[in-house]
Amino acid sequence: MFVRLVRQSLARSPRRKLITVAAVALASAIATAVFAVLLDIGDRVSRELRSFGANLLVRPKAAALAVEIAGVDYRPVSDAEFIPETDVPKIKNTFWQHNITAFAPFLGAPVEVGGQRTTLEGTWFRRRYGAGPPTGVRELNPTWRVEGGWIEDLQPDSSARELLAGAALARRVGIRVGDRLKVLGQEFLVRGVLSTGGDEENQLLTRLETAQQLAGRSGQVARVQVGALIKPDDDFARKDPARMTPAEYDRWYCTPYLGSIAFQIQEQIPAAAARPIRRVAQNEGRILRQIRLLMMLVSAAAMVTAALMIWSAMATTVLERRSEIAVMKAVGAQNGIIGALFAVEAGLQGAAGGALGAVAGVLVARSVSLQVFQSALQLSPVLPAVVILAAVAAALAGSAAPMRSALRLEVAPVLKEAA
Amino acid sequence: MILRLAARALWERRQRAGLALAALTVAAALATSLVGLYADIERKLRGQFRGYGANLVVAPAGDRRTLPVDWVVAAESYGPAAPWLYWVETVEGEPVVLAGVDFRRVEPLAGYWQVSGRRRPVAGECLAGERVAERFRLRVGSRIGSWQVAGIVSTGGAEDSQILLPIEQVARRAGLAGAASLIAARVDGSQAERARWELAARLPQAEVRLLRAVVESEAAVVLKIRGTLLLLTLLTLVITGLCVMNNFGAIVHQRRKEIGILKAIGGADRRIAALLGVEVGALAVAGSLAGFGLGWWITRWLGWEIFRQPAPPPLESLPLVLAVTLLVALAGTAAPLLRLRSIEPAVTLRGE
Repeated sequence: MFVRLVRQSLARSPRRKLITVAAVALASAIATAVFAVLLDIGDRVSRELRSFGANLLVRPKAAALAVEIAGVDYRPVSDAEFIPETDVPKIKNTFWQHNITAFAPFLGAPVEVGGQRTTLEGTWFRRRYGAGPPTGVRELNPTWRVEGGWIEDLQPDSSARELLAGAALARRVGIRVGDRLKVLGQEFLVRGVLSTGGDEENQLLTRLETAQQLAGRSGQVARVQVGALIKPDDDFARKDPARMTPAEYDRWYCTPYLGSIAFQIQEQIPAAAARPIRRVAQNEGRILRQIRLLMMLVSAAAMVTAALMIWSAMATTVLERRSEIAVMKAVGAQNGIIGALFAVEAGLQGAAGGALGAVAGVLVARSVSLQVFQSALQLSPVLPAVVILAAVAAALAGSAAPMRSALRLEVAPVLKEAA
Repeated sequence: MILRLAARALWERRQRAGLALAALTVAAALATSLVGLYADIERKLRGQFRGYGANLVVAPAGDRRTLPVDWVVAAESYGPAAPWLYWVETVEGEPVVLAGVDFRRVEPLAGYWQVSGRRRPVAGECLAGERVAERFRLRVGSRIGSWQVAGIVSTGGAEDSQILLPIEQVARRAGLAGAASLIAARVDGSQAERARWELAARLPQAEVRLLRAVVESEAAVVLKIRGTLLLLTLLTLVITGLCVMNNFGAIVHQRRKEIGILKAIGGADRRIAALLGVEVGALAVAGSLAGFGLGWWITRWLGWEIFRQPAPPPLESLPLVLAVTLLVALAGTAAPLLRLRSIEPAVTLRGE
C-alpha cells in the first residue's frame, strides 16, 4: 500500500521532480568534484615542491669542515671522511622508502681548468641500482637544464671520460659542448653545459666512478643528497624523540616527518649523519600546510553551498505541495504516514540526484586533474558513497522543517487557496 | 502602484521568497569570496615563497674575482639583496671559510636560518655555523680566533661550515675593501626573467643568474594552485547559478493561477511582467548585497586564517557580483515570463 503510494506520487508531475533531482545532482557534483580534486592536492603539491632539490644531506659523521666557496673546494681531498658506496642504496631500505623520491651520491676532487680552480664532482646522473627505478641528480633536480646532452650512466663504466661543465665556469674559461678538456692528466669529452643558477655552475660533473678513480677513492662517496616527500613538521614533530613515551615514539617513527626519515637513514648507515637542508625542508613544510588549509577551507565553502542548494530545492518542493498534503489530511491520512511518504520521496530524490552528481563530479574532477596537473586522479572509492549519503541527508533535512509546518496547517484555508 | 503590489506579493509569499533570497545570498557570498580569493591568490602564494630566500645571484664574470659591494644597490631596486664576501683563513690551526655578511640586508633572505643566540653580531662577535661549532666545541659566548660567538646558525647549507662576520671586517682582513664575492637577491617571482635581463644590462661586467630550482618550482606551484582554484571557482559558480535560476523560475511558475486572474481582470502582459520583474529584481538586489557582505567577510577571514595577511577589501568586485547575480536571477525568471503570453486564464483557473 505504502509502496504504491510512493510510486504513484513519484509518477505524478515528473517535470517538477526532475528539476528537484537535477538541483540535487548539480549540488552533489560540486561536492564530489571539489573533494576529489582537493583530497590529494597535498600530495601533488608535495611532488611539485620536490623539484626544489634535496631536502636531506647525508654526510659521514666525523667529516672535517668543508672549505668550499661557491662550489669550489679549497681543501686537499686527503683529509676528508667517506661513506662506502655500497651503503648508499640502504637509504631506500628504510620504512619510508616510498617517500624517498630520489637521491644522489657525490665525491669531489679539486682540479684546475684553464687556470681556474674548480671541483670535479662525481655523481649519479640517472643510475640503475638494485631493484628500484633509476635515480640520481636528474631525478633530484628536474629544473636543471643541460645544453648538449646528459651523461648516460645507467650502468657503471669506469673507462668513460666525459663530463658536464657548469655554465658559469664554461663561460669564464670558454668551454663548449664537444670540446676535449684535460683534467687531472686525462682527456675528457665535454658532453654538455649545465645551468642551474646555483653553485654547480662553477663545477665539473662526471660519473661517480670516474671521480673515484682519479681521486684514488674507489668505492667511496663524500655525501649523499636525498629528496623525500615529507609531512610538514607540527608541534609533535618538534618533540625530542629521546624523551617520548613508547607509544609516542612509535607514532613519530611511523610518520614521514623529515626528522624521522633522517633518523631512519642514520639507523641504516650508522657512520653517517643526516641533516635537513633547511632552506628547502622548512619552506616546503610551511607551504604545504598553507595550501592544504586553503583547499580545505575552499572545499568547506563549496560543501556548505551544496548542502544549502539541496536544502532549498527540497523546501521549495514541499512548499509547492502544501495543497496535496491538505487533501491527504482531509481524507483522513495520519501525519505519520504523510511524513513518511514525503521523507521516502525526498530520500529517493536525494539518492538519485546524489548518484548522478557523484558520477558527473568524478568526470569533472578527472578533467581538472588532467588539465592542471597533467596526471590521472587518485580517487578514493569511498567518496561517491559519502556524497550520496550526504545528499540524502541534506534532502531529508531540507524537507523536514517545511514539512512540519505544512502538517500543522489548517486544512480548509489551504484547500481554498488551492482551488 | 507596482512597487506596492510587488511588496505585498512578496510579503504574502514570504516563506517562498525567503528561500529564494537565502539561495541567492549564499550564491552571491560564494561568488564574492571565491572571486576575491582568486583575484589575490597569486600575490599571496608568491609571498609564501619568499621564505626560500634568494632566487637571483650576481657573480663576478670574466677575469674579475670580486664585485664592487655598491652594486647591491642596483639589485635592491628589484627586492631585498645582500652582498657576501668569502675568505679562507687559518683559524686555530685549521682552514675555515670566513663569510662576510651584511647582517641588516641579509635578514629578509635568511628566514630559514635557525639561530640559537643572537642573529646579529656586533663588533668583535661572529656567528658560527653549526658544523664549525661542533668542530671547535663552541657554544654561544665562547671564543674562536679573535671573536666571541654571538649565535650558532644552522641552515643545512654552506653556512654551516663557515664563520659569519660583518662584511667590512672580512674585507679588511682580506685587503679587499669595498668588494663582494657575490650578491644574492630575492626578486618578485613573476618578474624574475625581466629582473635578470635588466640587471645584466646594467651590470655588464657581472654574471646574473636565476636560481632555477627556486624560480621554476615557485612558478609551477603557483600556477597549478591558481589553475585549480580557477576551474573549481567557475564550476561552483555555474552550478550555483543554475540552482538559483531554477529557484526563481519556480517562483513565477507557481503563480500561474494568480497570473491567470490578473489577465482575466484585464492586466496587460507587459504590466504583469513588470510586476514580476520588480519582485524578482528586489529579491535579487537584496540577496546579492547580503551575499556580498557575507562573502567579503568570508574572504577576509580566509585570507587571515591561511596566509596571516589581511585581504584588501574587494570593493571593485561589487558591481561585478551585483550584475552577475541580477543577471542569473533575471535569466531564471525570463523563461517563465516569456511564457506569460501562452497562459490562458480560463485553462489555468480551471486548474489544468
